[in-house]
Amino acid sequence: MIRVEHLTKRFGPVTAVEDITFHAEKGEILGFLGPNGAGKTTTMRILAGCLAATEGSASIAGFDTFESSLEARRNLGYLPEQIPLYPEMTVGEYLAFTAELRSIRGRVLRQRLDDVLPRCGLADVRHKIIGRLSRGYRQRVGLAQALVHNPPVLILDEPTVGLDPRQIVEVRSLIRSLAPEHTVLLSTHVLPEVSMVCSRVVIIDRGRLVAEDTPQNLTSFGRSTRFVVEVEGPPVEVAAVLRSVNGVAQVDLLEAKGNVCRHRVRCAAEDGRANVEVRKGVAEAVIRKGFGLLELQPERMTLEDVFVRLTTTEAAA
Amino acid sequence: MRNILVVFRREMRSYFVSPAAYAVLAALLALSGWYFYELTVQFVLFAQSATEQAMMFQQMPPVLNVNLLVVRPWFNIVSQLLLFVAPIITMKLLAEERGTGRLDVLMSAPLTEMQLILGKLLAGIVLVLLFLVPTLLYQVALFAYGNPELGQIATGYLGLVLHTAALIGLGLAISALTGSQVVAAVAGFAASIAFWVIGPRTSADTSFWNSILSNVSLLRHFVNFSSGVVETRDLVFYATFLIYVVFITHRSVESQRWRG
Repeated sequence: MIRVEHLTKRFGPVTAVEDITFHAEKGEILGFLGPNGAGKTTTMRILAGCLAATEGSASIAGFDTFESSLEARRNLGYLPEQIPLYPEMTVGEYLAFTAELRSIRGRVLRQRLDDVLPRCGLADVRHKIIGRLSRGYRQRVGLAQALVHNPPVLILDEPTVGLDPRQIVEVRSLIRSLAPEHTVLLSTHVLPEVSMVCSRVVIIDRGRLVAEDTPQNLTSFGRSTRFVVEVEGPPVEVAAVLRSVNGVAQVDLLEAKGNVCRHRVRCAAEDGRANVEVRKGVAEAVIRKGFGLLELQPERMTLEDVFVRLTTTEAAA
Repeated sequence: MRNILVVFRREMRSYFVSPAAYAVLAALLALSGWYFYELTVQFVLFAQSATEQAMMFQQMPPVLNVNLLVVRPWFNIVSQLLLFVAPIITMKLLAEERGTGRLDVLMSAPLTEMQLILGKLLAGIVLVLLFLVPTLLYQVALFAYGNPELGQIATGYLGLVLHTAALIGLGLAISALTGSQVVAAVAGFAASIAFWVIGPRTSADTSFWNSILSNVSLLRHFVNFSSGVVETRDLVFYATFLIYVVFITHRSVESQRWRG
């Protein structure tokens, strides 16, 4: 439903997005992550038809966002980063306006409004003027505007910014409920949100794609660079043995009870495969020294770890 | 066409809830009303003194032309007032959309740039014309107490419609060039007034550049209408002027996609 192929966008000498390719199929909620200025909003604006790509192409529901722009936009709901509202209109009037721009009128329009207003928690402010609403409500009006014509593809640029915790939960469950019929591209800074809502994640940094996978795979053991080792033996000597193993960068004592101690070991290499070698080396060294190896457990990475690692290694390279 | 009307209706509704539009148009009506009063009073006083003088010398009182002394100058004054009104009506039309990022949402709807522009242009023109409707009362007063010519009044209003359309188009084009309403208003004033004063110093000067300048001056074309003359070249001028500013507006909005 969403296809981005070798997309590049330059603003004069500045390259905002460089050769990005990703796809999202029907029913998928694709998380779009990256540090500030990574090119998320630029990519989304190109998908929404607000911006033309320098190279490459983007398509919505099979329609190129540039070549057959109107058809692409008919299939799209877009919530931009800035909430773009008319402060002098009431919520109902505004939503009716955005629906009428998509040729929704009369009875269908009333049905859509009756559907989308309660879904976005706006039923009680329908006749209020947008200028008087709090930020959380405005955010939801923006979301309702993207949903009112029931488009197959939704592009949401940070939909939960400015909401209170209860509203965030509501909006997340709303987005999750869209999944079977809609395709959603969702950018966010809140990483736990991604694991909760998204079925797949695309991470970009400095305009380049650095990862594309499910949140589970991204945080899987194989990628971990740390593990915890529990050894029977004097803590200081055990730590020295651990440090002597090839490929170990750092050893921290977590706890020591009598003759049993737990250390966290961090590998020098930022790669899951090297980590396996280091674990084998640690096990061998501990046993060769005559200590008892009680436990050796790789630490599961959090999405924050993955994000920071992917975006900082790219910066160092 | 449907989309043009959707945009048009939204703009109209937004005008009628904004105090700025009311304030400007109230000022337009107050000033045009005041000028009408002044012109009529002067005309009556002049007619009175001329008649008295004629009686003193035992001659027939002169026939004074209300078309020449009230109708024509009043239309000219209103056309000048519109130079100041139009940029205030148009300043928000596109500049505000761009400044707030709402243009993104409009452009993510299946709406072409041209539909957006025409809807907004139409809203600005219709708003100003709606506020000119009450001035028809002035003409009723003229007919009640005098003997003006209907044809000249009709061409005067035709001229005002074309003049309004041209000025709103010009203001819209300038509003499309910036994200700031203040810049749009100030540049709009500058452009409107430039098209007013651009005419030649004297009509005796028939050099090449002077004839060019006098032909692009908005008011030079307007005075024909206020004098009761409808010339094809004036109609063509207003039509091409409007097409040109709409073209510029379209290009400017379209270029947003490349510049971001």
